[in-house]
Amino acid sequence: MTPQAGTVSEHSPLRFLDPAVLARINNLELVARTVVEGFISGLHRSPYLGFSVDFAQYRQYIEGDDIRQIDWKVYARSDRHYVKQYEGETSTNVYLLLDISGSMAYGSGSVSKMEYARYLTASLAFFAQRQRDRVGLTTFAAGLVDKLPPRCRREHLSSLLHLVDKAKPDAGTAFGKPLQALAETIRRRGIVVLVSDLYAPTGEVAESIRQFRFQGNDVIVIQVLDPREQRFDFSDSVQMVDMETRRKLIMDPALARADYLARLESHQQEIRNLCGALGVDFLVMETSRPLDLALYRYLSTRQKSR
Amino acid sequence: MQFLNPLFLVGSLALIAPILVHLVRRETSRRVLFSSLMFVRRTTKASLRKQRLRHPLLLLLRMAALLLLVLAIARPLLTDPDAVGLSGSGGRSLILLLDDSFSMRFGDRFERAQAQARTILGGMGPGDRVQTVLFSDSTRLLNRPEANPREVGKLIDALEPGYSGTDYGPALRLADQLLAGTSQGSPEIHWISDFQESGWQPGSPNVSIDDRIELRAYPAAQAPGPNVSIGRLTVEPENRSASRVAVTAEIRSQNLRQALNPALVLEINGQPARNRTVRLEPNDSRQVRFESVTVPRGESTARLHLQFEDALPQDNFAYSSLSPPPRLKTLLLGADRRDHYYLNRALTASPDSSLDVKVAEPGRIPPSELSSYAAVILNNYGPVQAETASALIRFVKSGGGLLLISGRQTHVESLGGLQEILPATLLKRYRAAGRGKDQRIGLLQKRHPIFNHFEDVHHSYFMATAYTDFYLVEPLADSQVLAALQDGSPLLLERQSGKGRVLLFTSSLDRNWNQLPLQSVFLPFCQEMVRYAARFRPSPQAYRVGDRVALQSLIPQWAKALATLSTSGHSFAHTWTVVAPSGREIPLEDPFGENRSSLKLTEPGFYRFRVQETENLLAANLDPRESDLRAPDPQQLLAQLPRTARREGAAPPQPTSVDRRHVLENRQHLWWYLVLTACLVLLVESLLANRYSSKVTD
Repeated sequence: MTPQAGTVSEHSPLRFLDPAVLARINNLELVARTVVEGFISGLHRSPYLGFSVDFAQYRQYIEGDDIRQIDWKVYARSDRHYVKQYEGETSTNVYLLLDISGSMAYGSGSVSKMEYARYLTASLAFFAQRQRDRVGLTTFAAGLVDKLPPRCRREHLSSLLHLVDKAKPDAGTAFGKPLQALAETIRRRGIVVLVSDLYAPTGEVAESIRQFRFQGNDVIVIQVLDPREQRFDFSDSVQMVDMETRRKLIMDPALARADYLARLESHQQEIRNLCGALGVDFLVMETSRPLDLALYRYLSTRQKSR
Repeated sequence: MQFLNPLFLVGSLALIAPILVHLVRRETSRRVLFSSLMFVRRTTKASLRKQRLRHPLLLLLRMAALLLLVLAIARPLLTDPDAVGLSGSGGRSLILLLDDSFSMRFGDRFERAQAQARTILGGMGPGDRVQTVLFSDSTRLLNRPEANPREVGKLIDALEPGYSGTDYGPALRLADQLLAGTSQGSPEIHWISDFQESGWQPGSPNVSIDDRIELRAYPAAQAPGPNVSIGRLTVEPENRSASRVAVTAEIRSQNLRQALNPALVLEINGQPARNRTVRLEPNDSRQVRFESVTVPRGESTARLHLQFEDALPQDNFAYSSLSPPPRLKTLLLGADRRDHYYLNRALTASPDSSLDVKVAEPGRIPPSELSSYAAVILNNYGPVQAETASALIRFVKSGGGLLLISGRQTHVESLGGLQEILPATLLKRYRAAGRGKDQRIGLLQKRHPIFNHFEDVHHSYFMATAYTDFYLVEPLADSQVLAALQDGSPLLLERQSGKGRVLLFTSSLDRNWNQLPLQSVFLPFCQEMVRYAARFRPSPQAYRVGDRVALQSLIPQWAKALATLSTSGHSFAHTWTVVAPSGREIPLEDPFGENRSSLKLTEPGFYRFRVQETENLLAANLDPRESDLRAPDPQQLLAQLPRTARREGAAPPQPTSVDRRHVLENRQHLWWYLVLTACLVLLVESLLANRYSSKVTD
């Protein structure tokens, strides 16, 4: 069963914190924890119960296991080392792909797309880590910027969050080369979550998604957009400067608005069609919306992939 | 229609500005960073142009407003046939500049001047127009441009010289301005005067005459004759009640053929009180001191008569009022009378102190009685009751002065509602922890009325005093720090509250917190603080002819008369009479209203202000400079007058007298309507622009 985005009401006291509120929290880990805890507490009230943290079985300790996982009570009784295994510990690999191109720096309100994408990525990573999934992160712009292979350890999450935190918007966007390089390193199937504004030619985006999908990965594409990008409600004549290419254009937004919206919608529709054809989850996240929907989609995809 | 400032019409080029703004707007559009322009298609130039011309009405309104403002600044000049008659006839344009100051009373000077004027009028030809300007210390137009010399001659024959001083500057400027618009004929100024040297007032604005104007001077005086005069009469009280006064006078002589011993008679209330003679050399100036004179209680007058027959007898008299100066009623409040020891002594010590101090304890004075005082001092005052606080606030807002002196009993919390009018918020008491920790004054507003009487050496006494205790305060934005300590802590602050004034002294005025009471400056400092807080300015014993006396300033002197009026319930209109020294009654319908707030003194002697049975006096003396008859050669004077090459129709300098403003403004008033219309156009433009703007935002 795929949970719906609206399972937890927006008016519920358990609703997730507003991104504008999250923006006031400096610590990214705390942001992620806040979002995920809020999500889980909401989830417990929902009919969608029972996920990874449920205890499954004991397994004998083998070298390399984290000694903190050893159940010392069982050791006291049996004089043998056992570690607890949970329902969710099925070692799914989660590949988070974060677009840090220049266009992601745009924000008309208190939260920019980059900040929102950071919260989202951090929340997904935190959530996955709680699920005992192995989480990896790749940041890219015109090329591959940073890459962290999937791991499950707690320290790994800190490194990952640090990487997310230090990610700064770079120049242009190119989906082809960086994502191809990443795809070549994926040895084990998993869940690929692409967080981007997808401001690139459709063909380039399609090629990247197709590549991941053909490797057997489950893919979630999350397009992060600013509300103003969706409305284009500028007044009076303006000189617009492209944040990626620095191209300048003097224009009357009132005249250009209809054309802009049509072209944006067409671009989104092409990607939506592509995702539909490839069985990929496509999600448009506006920076003013809570982050819960993305977590639901992740959880849902993970259920399918198990 | 002409323009006074035609050069400003160049400003009409500014009309291009709105068009340029519209045209170059593309380049000056607001810069907006946007994520990506991959979905934005370039708008065609044609469509942009179409957009720019979307609000042509706004453009027109802006241009209209600019045009109106430019026209207003250029000062259009209406061609009033009467007003510009000087230039409209094609003949000569004459200005008769006639001196009617007091010095023209010397001998037959004024008759000679009138005869000279008639001669000039007799020389007028057909097409000539003449306008007469009378001047003394002020300037007046006698007639509008007139072609008939007989009519003007009649007006001049009826004239008499006045008692005022002389100021040539404004008169010449007015004549120059009246001829400034002359475009036809030859402009001429005929200046008839005794050309006194003292007529060039030091504060008079620079004068320059258009070089097209022919300026002729006609001296009304032959060789100056002998004259003696009283330069100054000073009456000083010898004790606090002013029952005995010392009288001093300055006697001058000019052009005497030989030394003289004229008699001086001092009259008190019309009765001879002192007699003496003074020896005067041909050109001399002497100080004469009379023996002390006993003055009866109440209103008294002093008149000094220099008994000598000369051609200017009026300057042989001087007048002074001997009324005791009004006392400044001051209420000194505090918990413990011992705290007032130094302060009270300082306020009442000097024999000529104008302060009438009453010491009381809190609660002993009903709040309703506060209005009978001019100043209230709260010295080391304890908790201020709510009723007292509100009464003090009312007292200050209605014009009273409040002085708050800090002390041991003063507490931040105890001030209650009084904090509303104080110049600062009291924070906490500062106590010097030991020797060397005390503070001295670091800042003193030496030009402030409280301190400007003190010499530099006195300032050093202020600076030398150590302050061991004081209150740290937070000054309010509308307060002024008059003195501050070395660490910047304010010591004396002032704040205007309503019509009144509040002073806050953050230390004490006894020896507990500082040693200021031991300094010689303590006494005058305390008195000046109270006088300043109460806005007390004693009126002079005598004014000068030509002075404008603000009637409001006389209220303290006429308190008795006013009290009579207020109790009788009569209005001023029917009960108040002013009689000039000549016996002429001056109507004062609303002496303390806005319409008649001042009275110009035009005669020497005593002005009598009568309210029912009460009479108050005000003395007016001649300007002593008028008795100085020295005069330079008029031709030399004319040669030194700066001449200006001025373009035809160029703007005359700013008018300075009421008459000139009246004449000129009548012809130039169109600019005012232009500015008003421009404002209306701009208002409509703003409304329209807002409407368009809100539409776009929606």
